[in-house]
Amino acid sequence: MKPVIDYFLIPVMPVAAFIVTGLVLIALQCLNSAKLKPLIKLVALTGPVFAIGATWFLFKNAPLEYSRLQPGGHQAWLNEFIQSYLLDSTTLIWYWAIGALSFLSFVFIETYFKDKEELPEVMILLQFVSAAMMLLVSANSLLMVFMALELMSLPIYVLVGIEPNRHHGAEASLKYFLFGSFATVLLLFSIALIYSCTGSLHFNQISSFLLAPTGGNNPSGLMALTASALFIISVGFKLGLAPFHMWLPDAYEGASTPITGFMGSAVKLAAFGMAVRLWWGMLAPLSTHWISILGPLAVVTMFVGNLGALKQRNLKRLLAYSSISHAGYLILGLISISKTGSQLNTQNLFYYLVVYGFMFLGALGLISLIERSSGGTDISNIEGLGFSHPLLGLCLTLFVLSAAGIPPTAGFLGKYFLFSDAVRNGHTNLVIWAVLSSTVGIYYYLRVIIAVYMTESAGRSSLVIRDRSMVMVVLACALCMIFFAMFPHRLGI
Amino acid sequence: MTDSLLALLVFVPLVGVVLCVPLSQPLARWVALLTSLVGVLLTALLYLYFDGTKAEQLQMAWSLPWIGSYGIYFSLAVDGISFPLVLLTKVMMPIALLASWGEERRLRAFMSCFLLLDFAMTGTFLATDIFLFYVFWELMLIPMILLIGVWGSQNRIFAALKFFLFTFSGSVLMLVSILWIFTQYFQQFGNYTGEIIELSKVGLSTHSIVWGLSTQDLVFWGLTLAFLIKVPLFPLHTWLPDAHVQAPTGGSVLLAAVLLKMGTYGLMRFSIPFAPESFVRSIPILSTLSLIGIVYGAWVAFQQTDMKKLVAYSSVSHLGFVVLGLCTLNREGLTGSVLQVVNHGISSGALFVLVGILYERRHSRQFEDFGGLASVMPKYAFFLVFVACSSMAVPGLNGFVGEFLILLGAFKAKPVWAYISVTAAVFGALYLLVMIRQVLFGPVTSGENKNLKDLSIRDWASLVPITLMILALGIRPNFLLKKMDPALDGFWKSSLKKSFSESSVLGKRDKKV
Repeated sequence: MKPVIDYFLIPVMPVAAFIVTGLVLIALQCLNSAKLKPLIKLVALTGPVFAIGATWFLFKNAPLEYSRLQPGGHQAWLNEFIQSYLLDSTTLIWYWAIGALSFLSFVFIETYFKDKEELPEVMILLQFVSAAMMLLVSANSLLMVFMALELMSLPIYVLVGIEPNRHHGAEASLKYFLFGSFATVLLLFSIALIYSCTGSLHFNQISSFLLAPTGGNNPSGLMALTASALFIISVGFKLGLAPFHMWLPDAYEGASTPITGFMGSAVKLAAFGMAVRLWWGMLAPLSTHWISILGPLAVVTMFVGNLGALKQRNLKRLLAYSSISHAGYLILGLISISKTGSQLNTQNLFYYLVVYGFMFLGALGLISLIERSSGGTDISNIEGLGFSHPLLGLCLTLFVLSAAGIPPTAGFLGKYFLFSDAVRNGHTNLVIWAVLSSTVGIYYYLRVIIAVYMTESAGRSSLVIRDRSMVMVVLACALCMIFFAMFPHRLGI
Repeated sequence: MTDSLLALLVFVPLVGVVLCVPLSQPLARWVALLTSLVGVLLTALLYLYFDGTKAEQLQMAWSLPWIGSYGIYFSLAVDGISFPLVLLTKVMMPIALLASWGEERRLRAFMSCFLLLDFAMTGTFLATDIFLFYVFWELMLIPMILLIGVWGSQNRIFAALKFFLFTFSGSVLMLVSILWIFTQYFQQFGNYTGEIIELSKVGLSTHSIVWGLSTQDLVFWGLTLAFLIKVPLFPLHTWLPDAHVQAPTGGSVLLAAVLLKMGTYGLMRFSIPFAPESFVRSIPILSTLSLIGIVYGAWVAFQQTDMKKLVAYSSVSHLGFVVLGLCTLNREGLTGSVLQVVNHGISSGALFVLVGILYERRHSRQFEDFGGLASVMPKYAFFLVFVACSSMAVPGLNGFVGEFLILLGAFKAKPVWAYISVTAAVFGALYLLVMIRQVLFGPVTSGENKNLKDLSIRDWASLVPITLMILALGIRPNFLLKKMDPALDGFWKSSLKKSFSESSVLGKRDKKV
């Protein structure tokens, strides 16, 4: 029994916190009592809180011991699990970020749905998404990746369209689902290819097979190359890389605003965590091949995102395109990850992801506030915000400047770290493209600032703040951004 | 005290911002003014404590750890090159504030923008960490575009966007150069550092890698484009007239007096020491552009009928002189450039103050609306003529010393440069005299002008210190020069030392001539 506790129950505590909360919520919902609604709201928040607590507990209690474990000598299922589940100090930091972003998103989503009848379902689905995100960043086998990815994606397809009378909600959901399932099929196919040429689903075994002198040059090596190309397409769909980004603006615009915030922050972070595991954990021996594809793809993605955003008038769509361009920068960071020993130096990518997550969530929080009081998310709805609500205006400015990567915001530091990684790894030409595309991008970010400060609006007093807790989320995000800019070493830099 | 003096200089404006926020609107004005006066007092201390005999060294260093793993510190220090610019920044602050004293709208935010700008400008000059420098450099943009975009005139948003896009596109390339320098340093020395002095030891290869450009050339142009946009050198100057015309008076003053100086400061601090060979290689391009800028700026200024635009184009011309001075590679040219930077800051700042005074009373800057003001506003007329004289480099006033030294240096380096730029100096006199004639002399044509009030106490408060500075720098520039002489003496030697000595460069140049 002891090995089961040590190697299974303790490591999965953060994931279990979400799953158990989700199950409790289902039970409460089955009771179907209106009195229980406040309780549901409270219980829903315990998921992330316990997950953060469990992460902290694991952090204190030597996570390294777990990662040094060798499979063998246990029951078969336990051996399998130990091999498929990676837990080290890096993963735990990712857990922490997922927990924190989930907590803020949950508060935000609860406030948004508080008067709507979908509230319990939304909160239940979210628990499973969060659990899946944690599984995803510590996945060490293709089976785990597939399972976690599906556990994460399916509830999100539902969440995107969960508000029945939301304009474009159902369309967005269907579009996202169709694209997403196509990507899943490709993912499955590439998993099959990898399995047929290497005979394994575990990252370690696959990469040592590919590392073998014959690994890349025989027919099965060709199969692995095909599989890695398919991985680029299928994961590219999930990350929203151009040219597989078509679903993203529609899904982001059609989803309820807080759901968009959740998708753009926490889900994106987890998806990139998975991408790091897939490419650097499994396909590292083929890195020259996929880097030569992903590099140009990153540049294309940045430009598609930044150029696409130029003409948007809807803030959510604008941020969706900006999020595409950020995926480009992130891919640039991903291909520049270096190794010290067997440890991947993901801290720069992680810093960017976290900063971007808080920025995106905060911005969407603000947009949601505006949407609830004025009914629209058009750029004209924020005109004059800077002087009617100075604090919110400042927060929005901070988020926008951070997204644009203008010093001294944390977004700039993130870009700086990513770019310095890239230059060090010889991707200077890509960095030049990246900074040029960020110059293009500056224009639409400035349009937001112009609307906030430089445009007089007749109805600018119309913004009435009804939800204090949403304001708190926005402020918390802004404070976190300031904190990250001042003390980047807190995030491992 | 001397240990934290620089930190105080940088952070006092931030304290002012914090104080501004909870106060009532009119009080914010006084807080801002008080903060900037404290800044002036602190600079007086800086003047006393700064050791001019060791001006080539960084002094009064102050630092805080920031991003340890990249060797980046929040570190400040001052040497002979940054010293006059810090002085200029702090002295022009209260003058700019007084110039915008009449602003009524959103005073708290307005004053906060000013103080933030002060914070960023001082930080830019004092930063000894290249990363910190970049952060301050970019931070400056935000309050400036707000000043232009929120409190500017009709076409303000266009001007603000243009200003931002121009400067930002320059500075992203600078970022790539900085990253490249960091990486090269890491490869050569095995550790990261942000210290400018330390980084300038890095050897950048001069072997051509792409399109006949070497690593050093690429780094050089990455850095230099950003600085040239800020200077602004022809043909990168087009944002300047728009920004100046649309900005509120105080913003124009700071833009002309301080922000444009960042460009030449960057050239001296980064471009030349980091990539000396490339700098020497690009002198033909830089000197040609600055000569075009000198003549073109003056010619376009001559065509203007809007006073503010005229002053803006005159800046293009005057700052062409500064870049030309750096291209001479000799001591005279360098001294002239440094002085011209300060002089231009004072005189063009003063011209903007004077234009602002008229605009406040009459809401126009067009020549045709004025005429004969000398009889209505005699005191104003005196100051306008006086400042214009300083700007057109009348001997005995500040402009003369700098321009003369640059011409001397240019003559030594390549006489053709001097011939061309002297003609532009004549133009300089021409357009300013035209402005004076149109605005001040002749009959009073418009009835509205008959009852214009002459200078108020506030105008006196900003114009008298300017006048004193103009006189002081014109008659005895030594009080400033003695604080930077050692830095200027050693500048060419230490910046160009990497591969060749000053004499060999000049030797080649002399033979060609």
